[in-house]
Amino acid sequence: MQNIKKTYGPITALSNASILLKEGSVVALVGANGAGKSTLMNILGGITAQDDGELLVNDKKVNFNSPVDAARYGIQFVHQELSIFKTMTVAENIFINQFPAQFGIISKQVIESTTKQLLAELGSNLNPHHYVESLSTGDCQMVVIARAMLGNPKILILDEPTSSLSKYEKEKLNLVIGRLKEAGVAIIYITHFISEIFEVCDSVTVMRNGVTISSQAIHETDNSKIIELMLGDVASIEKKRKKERSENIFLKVDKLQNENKVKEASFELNKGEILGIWGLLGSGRTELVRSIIGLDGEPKGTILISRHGKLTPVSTEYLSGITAYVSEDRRGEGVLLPMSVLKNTALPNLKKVSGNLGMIMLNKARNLATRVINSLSIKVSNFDQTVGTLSGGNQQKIVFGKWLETEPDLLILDEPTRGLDISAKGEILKIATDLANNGVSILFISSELEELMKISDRYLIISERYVVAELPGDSTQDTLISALSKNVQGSAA
Amino acid sequence: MNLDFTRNRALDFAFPIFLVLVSLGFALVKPSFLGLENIFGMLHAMAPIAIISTGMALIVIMGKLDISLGSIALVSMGVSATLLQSGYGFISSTVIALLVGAILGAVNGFIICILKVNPLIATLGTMLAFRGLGNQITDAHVVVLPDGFRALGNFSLGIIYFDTVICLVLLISVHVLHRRTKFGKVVTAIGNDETTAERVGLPVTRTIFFSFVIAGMLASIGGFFASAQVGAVTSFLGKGLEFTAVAVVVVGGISLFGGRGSILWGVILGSLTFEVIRSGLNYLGANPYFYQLIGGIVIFIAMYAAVIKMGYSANDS
Amino acid sequence: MVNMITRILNFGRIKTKLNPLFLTTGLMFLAALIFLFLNSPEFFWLNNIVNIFNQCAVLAILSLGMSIVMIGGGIDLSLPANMALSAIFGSTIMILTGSVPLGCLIMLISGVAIGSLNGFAIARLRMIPFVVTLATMTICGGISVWVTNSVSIFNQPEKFFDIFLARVLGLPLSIYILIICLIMTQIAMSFTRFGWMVYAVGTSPSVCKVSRIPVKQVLFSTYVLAGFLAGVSAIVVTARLGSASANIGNDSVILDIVTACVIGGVSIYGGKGRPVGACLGAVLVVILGNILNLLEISFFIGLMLKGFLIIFFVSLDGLLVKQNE
Repeated sequence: MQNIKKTYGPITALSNASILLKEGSVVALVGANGAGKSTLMNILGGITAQDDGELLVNDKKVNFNSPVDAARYGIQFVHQELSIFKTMTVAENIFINQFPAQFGIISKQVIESTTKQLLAELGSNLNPHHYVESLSTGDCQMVVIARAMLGNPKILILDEPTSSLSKYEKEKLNLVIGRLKEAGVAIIYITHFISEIFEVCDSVTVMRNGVTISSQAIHETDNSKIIELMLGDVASIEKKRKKERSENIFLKVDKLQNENKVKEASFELNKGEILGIWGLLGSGRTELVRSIIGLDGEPKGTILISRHGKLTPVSTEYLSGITAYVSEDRRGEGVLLPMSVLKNTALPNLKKVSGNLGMIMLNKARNLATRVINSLSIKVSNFDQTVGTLSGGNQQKIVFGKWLETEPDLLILDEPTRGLDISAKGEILKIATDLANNGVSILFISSELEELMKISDRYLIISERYVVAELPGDSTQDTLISALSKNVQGSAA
Repeated sequence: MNLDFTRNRALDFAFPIFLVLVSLGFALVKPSFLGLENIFGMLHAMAPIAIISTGMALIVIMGKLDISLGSIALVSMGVSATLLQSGYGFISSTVIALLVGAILGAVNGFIICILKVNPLIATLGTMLAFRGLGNQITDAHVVVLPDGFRALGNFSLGIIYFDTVICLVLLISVHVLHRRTKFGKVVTAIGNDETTAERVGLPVTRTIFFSFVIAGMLASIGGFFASAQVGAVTSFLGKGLEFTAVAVVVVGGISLFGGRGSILWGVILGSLTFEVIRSGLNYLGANPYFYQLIGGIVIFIAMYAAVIKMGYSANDS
Repeated sequence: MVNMITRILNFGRIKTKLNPLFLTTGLMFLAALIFLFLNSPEFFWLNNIVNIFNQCAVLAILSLGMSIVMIGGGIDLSLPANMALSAIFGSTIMILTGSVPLGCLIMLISGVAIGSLNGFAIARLRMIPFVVTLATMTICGGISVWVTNSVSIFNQPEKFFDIFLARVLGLPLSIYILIICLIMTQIAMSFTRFGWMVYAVGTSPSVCKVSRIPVKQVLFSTYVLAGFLAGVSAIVVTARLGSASANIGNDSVILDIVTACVIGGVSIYGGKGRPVGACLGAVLVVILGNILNLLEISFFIGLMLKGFLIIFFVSLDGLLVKQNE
């Protein structure tokens, strides 16, 4: 693929991306969220078409209009979200889009024996007759890879194949990749887990802001070099806040455990402090914050908050009552798109804007909406405008605004600037720091190290569902990156 | 985990055990209830509903519902009876009845696949629209069918009735269609997750459309035997049948959430359960209206069991 | 005219764009009125109009209930069966005890009880609304025919009819009851905390969960309220017909209710529409029925028309939803 360009409306997803694949080699494709990995791979997989640039297979120029076209050239895409059908058997899942049939009747024996053979080639001894719903995620992965193998691929794209695999399953996957390599298949391996690259890949291509900024053989690079390339240079970080935080603990979480989503998490948060939660996608950072306010079922462990100067254990429900949660899924969990600004801002404040008998006091609701609009300078024509017609930045401000009106003690920000333009990002960060200055405690999650470093007073490092380290606010970029890469490597080794 | 598993198994067997217990209960009061003659009589009586439920089962496995099936039965038999009266032959009128079933099924398919209307609302609309059409055709009068029909509807070799055999043949064919053909696999896949099925490149729209056509045809066959058994087409034909069919399917362990269940065993178990209750109450001389109530309660229980099961399997993963 | 209709429909909101759905309904309304004006001017006699409203009171009250449930993102098919069963229970008690208030109370309680059953199964047990209420409908219908043997219950105390058939200022009481129900429902949905929560839950349960809205309670309440309105309609229908029977809840009534709601702009996808709209939809359904009568079109063709009307409106609604996304 050479000099690929792709724009979606005003947004440029890819400005100059190139990637080279050799038969029987594994190329890692890494980059932060929104760097353009998925877009690039969707073009290769025939899901979308490029605006500019060309695809060459064996030095021949090709153009794909659909995944079927791509498959004709031996390109198979294994998506991160596994396309499996739970109530069907392993064999059925593998053959789902290419059943061999005689007179329309499928022979179980044929597909099951072929499956067995195929899985054996991949080094798996799954029973073709088992239902997929009883399998682990790793085995499901195997099923999907086997399905891709059925199409005799020359190029196999694996998108985040390990995001929910156990260590043992990862090792199995590595073996499979080894076998595929031997068979001459070229593999593109997309991942957020840098350490894995060194286990299986021959070279690594790093993307940032729609550009493939570097392609290197694996032995020419190392962990922190890759992370640095991914995140870009964060040379001069200007702290948004002076360091003058109180030492009063506001929230203490002790050995929080939520099934396999959060493991033995303990941390403390001071009043008016911004605690940056730093971890890669899939590390369990979102699950951690959702668990403490009871959005992902009831966790085990203790949550204490400071009341009248004493730390008292509270329920997740209580904590949720004093917490504002800005979800990473703005459209799904943040705003009611088809409804007005007025109704959106009133949603968590219904008690506040209603009087006797639960009657809504329209003027109170309007005042509230106006207050939100003015204080966060949201660009709307009036409060009856539907939120769906606003820009992403203004939608996010609505989410902030509606929560601020609840006067929360704890603010959880999960990727609050995702998909926003630079100026909106700056504004969101400004709002967060202002709040902290006014005594609100904040848990701040971000994939962008730069913005995280700008405003955090302290860092919590999360990796593979564990809280692995805590670093002071004046940590440098190098310390943060090495803390993460060390722990990533440590836990994978 | 183990406990959940046991509970799940227990739920799987709950209805078969219930069926056996109820049958034994009736047999205690009247031993002839479990006599061969009565058993085959029940298999005969349940044939029409079992045939309609077969189509319903296919739709439910796809994760959808078709509550217009009873009305389709009425329209196709209304057409066929009117044709017979105006001098058409048995064969041609029956073929046309099947065709009508297929066409009405296609109308449902069109509304759901092309107009993208939610299947529940779509078939709620067509359920009443088709019922109107059917009654318009027959003028809401009872149309008596030629004598041969009644004879065919109640024809038996020994104790085995003709319609029981046809029912079994249809059941097995649809079961094979579901279990052993590409079409059936796509049906199950859609029932699992329609978006995933589309992403994998399966012919989703086409399959949904033809499933509704098949269900429509089966509904008209069911309607045919239902009318043949009594020798007439009445405006009540098929009324409430769609609900019984849903109930049969649910009791038969075919999940309303799609993707799960065996058509052959599910439909047999479900229809037999309802037939045993109906004919048992009849045997005991209970108020016939009582049956509808029991039917509703059984659906409720079956649904609740399905929900519990879903809950457990959701926890497993 | 259309403008006026949209203005009426917009009651309680400040400004909305002219929605194609409302436009279609408005045009249908207009066409129906012009048709009647040309073909049967006597339709517009005051007496006849009163009569029309009297006819549509039951349907309109049920449609109000349905609109609440549909705005919350559900559907309640058991409303007519609920009404019939409540009417039967209430009438039986009324005849047994001779007490009119007790009989009416029983009708309301029975309606609420059945509504709660639906609400519990849907909100707590997370069953599918369509199927749950289908089952409830079968059960209620079953009990109705069972206890009555499919025979109508006559002989409610004279006093009952005296009260509910009375005319106040020349209008039958049922119209007042309808107006009260309409105003209360509209106020509840547009101007109370509860109503705002219902719209929000119908639009997106996941946003509501994050925003600390008690989603389950809200859903439960919508079915209870709908059940209560079914109880109210049971009183009205018993008074108007002079009897209670299983047949008053037959399934063509549910078709009328759903038709009234969807042509009144209540979306089956939840979060959209107003009780007033459903109420006007009910009026339109009754007027259409009258036109069909006038044209001597059979009841059965009428069924077909309504069936396809529902499908037409729902597919139009779906297209609009897609367009907005």
